[in-house]
Amino acid sequence: MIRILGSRLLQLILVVIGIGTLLFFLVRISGDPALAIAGSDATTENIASIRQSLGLDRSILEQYLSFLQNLCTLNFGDSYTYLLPAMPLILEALPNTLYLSFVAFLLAIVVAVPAGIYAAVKRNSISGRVVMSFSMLGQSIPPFVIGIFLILVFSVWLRWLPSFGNEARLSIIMPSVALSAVLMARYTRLIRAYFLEELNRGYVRTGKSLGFTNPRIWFKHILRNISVPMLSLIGIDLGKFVGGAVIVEAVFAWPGIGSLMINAVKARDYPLLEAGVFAIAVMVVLLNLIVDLLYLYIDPRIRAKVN
Amino acid sequence: MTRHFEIKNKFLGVFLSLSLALSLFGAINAAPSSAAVSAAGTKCSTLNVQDYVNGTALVCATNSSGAKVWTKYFTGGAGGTVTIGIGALPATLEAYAASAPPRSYVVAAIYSGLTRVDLATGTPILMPNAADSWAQEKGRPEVWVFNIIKGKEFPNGEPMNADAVKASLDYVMNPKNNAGLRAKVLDITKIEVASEYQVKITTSAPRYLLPRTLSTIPILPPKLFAEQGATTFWKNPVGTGPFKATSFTPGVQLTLEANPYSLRVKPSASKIIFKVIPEDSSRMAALRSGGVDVVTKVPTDSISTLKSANFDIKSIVEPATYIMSLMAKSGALSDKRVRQAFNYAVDKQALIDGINGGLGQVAEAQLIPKGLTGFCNSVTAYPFDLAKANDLMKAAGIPKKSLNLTFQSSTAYITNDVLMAQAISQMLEKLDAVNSVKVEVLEFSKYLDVYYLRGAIPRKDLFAWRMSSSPDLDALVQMERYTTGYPTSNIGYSNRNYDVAINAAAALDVKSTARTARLCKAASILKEDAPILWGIHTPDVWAGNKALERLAVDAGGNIDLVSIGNK
Repeated sequence: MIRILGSRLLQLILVVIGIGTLLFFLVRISGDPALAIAGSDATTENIASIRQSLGLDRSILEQYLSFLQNLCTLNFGDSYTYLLPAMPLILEALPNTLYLSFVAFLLAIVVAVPAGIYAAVKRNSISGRVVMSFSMLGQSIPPFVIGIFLILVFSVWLRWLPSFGNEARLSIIMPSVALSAVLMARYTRLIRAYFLEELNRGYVRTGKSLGFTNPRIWFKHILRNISVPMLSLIGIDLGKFVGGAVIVEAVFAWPGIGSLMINAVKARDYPLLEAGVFAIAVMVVLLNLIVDLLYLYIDPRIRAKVN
Repeated sequence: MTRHFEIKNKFLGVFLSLSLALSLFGAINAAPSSAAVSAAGTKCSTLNVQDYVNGTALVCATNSSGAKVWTKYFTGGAGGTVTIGIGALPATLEAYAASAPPRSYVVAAIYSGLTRVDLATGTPILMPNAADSWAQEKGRPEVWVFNIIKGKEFPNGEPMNADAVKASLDYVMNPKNNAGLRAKVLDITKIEVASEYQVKITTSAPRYLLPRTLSTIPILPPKLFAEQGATTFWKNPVGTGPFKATSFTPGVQLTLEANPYSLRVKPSASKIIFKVIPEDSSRMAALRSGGVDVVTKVPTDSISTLKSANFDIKSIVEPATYIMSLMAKSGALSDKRVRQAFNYAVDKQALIDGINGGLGQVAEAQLIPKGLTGFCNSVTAYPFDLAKANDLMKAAGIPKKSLNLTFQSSTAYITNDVLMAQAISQMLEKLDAVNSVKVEVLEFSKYLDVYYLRGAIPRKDLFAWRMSSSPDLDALVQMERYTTGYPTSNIGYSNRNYDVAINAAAALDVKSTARTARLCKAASILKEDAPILWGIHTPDVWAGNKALERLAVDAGGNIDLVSIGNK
């Protein structure tokens, strides 16, 4: 266990340095932030002064060393656009993104598990096909289209739910549904496929011959067996999920890190970009660590191997 | 006519009427403070002009019998809370970064400049703000004397006086502070405190637009600003505008509440909330669902939907011109006949009808819309005439299907920019000599690099941009961009006669006929040389619910936050 934690911690450090370095050079290749800050009427002198005040007149090596130093102390400097320390800005918005992602993820699992099992068990029935049709639809439509559709129906026509922001308690519903739709659909299809595969295994036949009820076989045995490959997929999806949240946040004006990151890219706000990517990288690596630990909990074979 | 006036002058009424009339012809630097003439129910002359009298905003409006009278919409605070859905807000509440929307909504709400420009009629009318009056010193037109309002203070108790004015301007002018607005006051050479309530500002040459420019530079409490430092001050700024910022989450929301220390007026609404909703369709949905009362930047394709849902639509023509600089350094475009042909080949009205929902205005072959000072009635747009365009190309000796051009455009920076670039490129491809026009869409930071001629991508045959006339609202500043050697217009265009006319105009009083004549001469030269492909003046569309008492947007694209309110 300690070895796993240690290796993940090492991985976290390497990932952060790797991503940070890549980002450092990529954003600098993209152009000069002084131009974006100065605006279209600024004088050349003004632009030069801004570059100097931001330390952008130093050599790229000097800037990189200073960046690495900042990375160690988690001090990414002040955002060029917000004139505030970058990391606190990110940390202020991050809980909103995490809340949205968590609810959406939970929703995807809560819907996909029974829907996938149902579609597998009732694979030849009309209702089973309807479930699969919905899952195909959910997987084909981008989250922002689903978001706009939900807004039109539930905010504009029915006026049941707020269309933007996170002030009301019900504000979470539409963004989380929009964000979870693709995942929900994907997991429903995968759970169905894994479930069908497991249904033909010997242990299922044995269970049946021993007189176990179907729900017992499904939920206690099959579900446990398919949860290992599902967890692998979840680990891969978590990174993508944060990316999807950025788009959904823009549609619902959800005050997460999405809008901050989009603005940071537009304005070439290096400190904010670096702090944001750092936070996301840490989050993804930590979530993957949790997934790894869950493997140990769920699968005794992996536990035995580690021990 | 002297530009100096005193509030209690017994001839004020006559003076004010004259000033107001003159201003509508686009040539004024001083205008009424109004207390003596404007009162609710009394007659007024120019619709929509707003005056602040005894803390109340009066608007010149038509009453039920059709007469123009000063109309009071609300007493302060009775308009309740108004929520505005906006695409983007400035990242900070900084006062000196820029003067165009959306920064100007915030700056004008929280802070006060020396003057205030009323743009409701489309023509700039200068009104008092921190200064009660202003005038050029007799015999020294390069010196402006501003008389500061008396007996007013900032929320922290510091007095609004000449020291505050000097400290604020000194800060903007100091290159170390990187104030974006510094470019607007580069020619100020001296700021003197003549007395507690009088300040003298000297420019390197007579500068007739100075009072107008100073409307955009807020006066801040000097001691507090110095104690806190700019970064801390912008987090929780204090000012003497109609509102104070009570909460601000960058990129999310700004709440403004009526400011008891407002210099001139108590706003109708007790609270204005700006909600940032970047996605266009989400913003429109927020209006339709009742989540917000007003929305900015209504996309063209949403206008009819909102109209049919009974929302109030306000459309203005921005004081900005969508133009394309033509790279005249070498090749076919170095021949002015080719450049003229391009101007004939583009159907500007089709850009308005087909892309902008019939909104906006065809640009005359000038750099500002009608109504702003320096506009020249005699210089008109190139008409759409494809046959003439082909003749000109033939006369220039350009063989058929020989030109392959590149059109550089921004994306989501100018209203419908990519669509307009595609439409214009297709129009140009109809010319016999043009084989293809490739549209190169540039992400904003790359676009800025090309604009500044600093990046790896060079400026190519056509470069589209939006030339804003804010805050000067005068032709000269824009026309200077085409003088020889101007840093960001390096397209190879140079005409000595043009330079001479512009330099001569710059030294003349803004309301003098000689200045207008020189600007007209320069505009004629520019039209003839055609280093530009003139497009349109872009529209800016707002929508609000009908329950609002007054939804007004001025020609600068600024919503009237002072008199808006819910019924």
